[in-house]
Order: sequence, then C-alpha cells, then structure tokens
Amino acid sequence: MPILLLLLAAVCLTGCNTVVMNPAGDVASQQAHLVTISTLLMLLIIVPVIALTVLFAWRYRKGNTNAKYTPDWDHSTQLELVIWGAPLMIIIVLGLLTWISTHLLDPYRPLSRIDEKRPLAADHKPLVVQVVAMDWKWLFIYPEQGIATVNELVTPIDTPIRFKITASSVMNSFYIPALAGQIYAMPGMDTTLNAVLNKPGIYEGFSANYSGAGFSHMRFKYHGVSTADFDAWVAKTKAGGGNLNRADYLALEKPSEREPVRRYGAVENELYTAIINRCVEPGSTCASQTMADDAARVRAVTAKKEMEARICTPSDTYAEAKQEVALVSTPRKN
Amino acid sequence: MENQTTLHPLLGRLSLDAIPYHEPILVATFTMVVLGGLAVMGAMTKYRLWGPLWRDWVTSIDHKKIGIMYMILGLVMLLRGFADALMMRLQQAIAFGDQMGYLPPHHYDQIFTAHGVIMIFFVAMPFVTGLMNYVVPLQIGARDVAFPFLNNFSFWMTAFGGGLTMVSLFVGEYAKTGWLAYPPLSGILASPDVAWTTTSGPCRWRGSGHFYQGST
Repeated sequence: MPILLLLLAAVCLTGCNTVVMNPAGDVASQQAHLVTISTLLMLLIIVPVIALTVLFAWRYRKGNTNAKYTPDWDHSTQLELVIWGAPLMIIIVLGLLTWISTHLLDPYRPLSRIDEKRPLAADHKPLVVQVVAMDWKWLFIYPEQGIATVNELVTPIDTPIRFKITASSVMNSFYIPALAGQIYAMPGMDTTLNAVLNKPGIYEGFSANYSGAGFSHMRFKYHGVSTADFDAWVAKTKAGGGNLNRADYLALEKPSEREPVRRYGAVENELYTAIINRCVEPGSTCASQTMADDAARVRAVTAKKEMEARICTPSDTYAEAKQEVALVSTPRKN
Repeated sequence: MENQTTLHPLLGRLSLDAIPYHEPILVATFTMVVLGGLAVMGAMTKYRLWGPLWRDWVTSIDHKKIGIMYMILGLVMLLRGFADALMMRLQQAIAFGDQMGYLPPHHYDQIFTAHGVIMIFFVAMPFVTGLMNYVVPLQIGARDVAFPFLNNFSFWMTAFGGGLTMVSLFVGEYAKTGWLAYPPLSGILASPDVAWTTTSGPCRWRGSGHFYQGST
C-alpha cells in the first residue's frame, strides 16, 4: 500500500514543472542549491525528532512492561547537551548560510561570475534591460541598443544582464524562474536584478504578484540566444521600424489583456526615467524635480534659521553668518 | 471619476444593482441559505431552544463557552472557506490552454480573495482565539479572564464581522485584490466598486473584536 501511494504521488508530481530546481541561469542555480542545502539541514533535525517521537510513544506504551519505568528521573546532562546543542549548531549553520547567501545573491550586487567555472571582471559592463510592468503586459526597453519590445524578452547567453524594474500603475513581480528569483515591480520606484543565463532556449516569464483582471495572461517568452543571434535580432528589430515615444507609451499604458508581441526600432530618450518619475505625460512635473525643489526649500529655511540664530549670538558677526548662508543656500549642481 | 460626485451620503456606491440576482450560482446559493436558515429557526422554535441559546450561550461570560463559540464560528466559516477552495481547485483543473473553465475571471478573483480573507481572519484566528480562551485561564489557574464581559463582547464583534462577510456573498462583489490587498491595486482607481467596502468592513469589525480580545 505505501508503495502504491508513493507511485501515486510520483505520478501526480510528474505534472509539476521543476524549473526552479533545474534552472538555466547561474543565479537561479545557486538559489536552487540553497533550497536543497537548507532543506537537508532542516531534515537533520526533523527526521530524528519525528522518528524518536514515534519510537518513544511505542516503546513506553502502557502495555510494554520491558521498558524501564523511572518516574523519579529528572535530569541528564548528556541529554540536555544534545537537546540544546543540536538545534544550536543547526541555527548557527543556517544563520551563516543565510548571511552569506543573502549578500552573495543580493539582486543589486553586480555579478562576479558567469557560472561556476567562469569568473567575471569586477569592471565588466552588463547588458541593461529596463522592465516596465504595465496593465497587463510587459515592456522591455534596451537603452544601449535603442529598441523596445512588448511581451518578448531576448538576451544573449553567458552575458551578465542588469534589469532595472518598475511598474506603470500597480505592483507586480518580475519573475523568470529559469533565470533568477522574483523582484517586485513598483510604480514610482526602481528595483534592480543582476542575472545571467547560461543555456539557450525559450523560457517562461510572468508576474508573480497578483495585479488585477488581466493578471493571468501577463506572460512573456524569454529567448536566450547566442551573442551573434542577439545582434542579428537587434539589427532586425531596428530595421523593422516603429518608434516608442511618450504618446505611444501613454496609449500602451492603458489597461489591455493578451497583448501580442510588439517590437519598436527606436525609443524616445530617457523614457524609463520619465516612467519612474511619473512624468511621461507632457506638462507633468517629475517626482525627481519635486523632490529637488523640496530639498532646496528645506535647505533655504534651515539656512535662514541658522542665520537668525547666529545674529543673536554675540560671539559671531552678522557678516560671517551671511557669508555662510550664501554658501549653504547655493543650489547644488547635479 | 465622475460617478464619485453622485455618491449616496449614507450608502455610498451601494445600490440595488449591487444585489447579484443575475448570477444563477449566487441566487441558488442564497435560496439554499434562506431555506436552511428557516429550517434551523423552525427546529429551534419547535424544541424551544431560543431561551437556552440566549441565556446559556449568547449572553454567557464563561470563558470556556466563549472559547467553544469561537471554534464553532471558525468551523462555520471554514465551510465557506473550504467551498471557496474547492471552487478554485475545480476551476484550475478545468481551465487550461484555451479552456476558460466555469468561472469568469472576475468571479475567480473574488473567490480567491474571499478564501484568503476568510481562512485567515475568520477560521485560523477564531480557532486559535477559541483555544486560548478555553485553556489559558485553566493553565494559569484563574477563574476566568480579567474582563469576562469584554470577552463576550469581543466574540460578538468577531461573529458580526463573520456575518457581514457572509452577507457580502449576496451584496455587491467581493474584493478582487487578493487577501493582502496591496495598494494601489486596492485603491479607488484600480478597484472602484463596492467590493472593497464589503471586504474591509467585516475585517474592521473582526479587528476591533480582536483588539478587545487582546485587552482581556
């Protein structure tokens, strides 16, 4: 019977997609490795505890007169050492593992290797892809190539990629299981993911955070190709024409479902910056501008207060204070 | 945004249109609920149980009875949450490829939001609170909780929240935001209907119930 159940479970599990445990990118591989190791470490505790629980319940049952009955027993240093020592060791190991991998796999940290065998130079230049989660499609802008796509992502393999991620209206999560873990896409914010793909192929990408009515079809195909194929694809897309300017973006931003793949041979400059700062619409004020204005205002007010304080201090002269204020309140050049 | 200017001062966006008499699944469910409710009330009248129910349970300040009532509430809500889970799994089993399944997307979204909200706020929490209510005074050797009436009051706040959640099945729509209800998706621009009110209202009742519960 147990074998039958196991078989049943095995049959049921064949439907599962194990891409998370067998990914095609180095970052996702390391994450899969981490999942395996931490599960095994936890099993080191869980398996003995469950086995002993069952064993004790059986051995010290009422009907078993062979088991030693010691009602006055109250302490064993050896047992205490095991009971406290084993979890402590596991916590230390898991803690170390968490600390190290949290820093090594920090999505903002530039990659240090292409895969296990090929390290990367510290000053390597990654391919930048700007990702915008929209209602309900994905926009990918390639700033260096000057092209953009909707619901299709193409990158060369064995090349580090730096994704800059944001959203147009509501929160989403950018997730390509074969490549790396999910990273949130939030309106008005900019998140980063550094990753690298090692095997060519076509992979699934989708949003991992529910975002409304069209969420189910907010999927795209991720093509991992050779560098030569990537260059050819970029050239073809450029030749294909189409220009993504602010007006097109505003039209594209409107909610729609099951969008077909679109390619744009040209993209308006600084479009992504305008999207993050919520000022794509002509005439709107960019968030960065508002923040800079606020900062300047605060600087001026602080300087004025400081000047007034200095004027009332006999040890300091008015002229000195005025000079300092002039220095402090000069607008910073960016 | 123009419809914001025509809000009813008391009912807001709630109007007769919010009664989903055009959804056959809901009409059938509502009929069953009414028939079931009438049967239970009839039986209680026949066996003269209204008095004992009021005296021994509804107004009881006994921590054990309140604990039991919490667990009964959890069980009742579990039926709803579990039915939601069955509907979701059925939809997932049926809908693949081009098959759309039997639930329209906006209905499925409400079901999975309701499932999350109910299972956490009205199943898991009442079960845990009920167990604590029952055993903690016994464990510490107290005669009851510190404020027995407040304990009863908290339970009925929670039960009222559960009742509102049940009513929301038949009034308007449930929220379509997922139970975490992250803004801006749950905000007025992305969810401009009565749904979020029918969802957050009961949770607020439950929340205040829980707050008073904590104070006891």
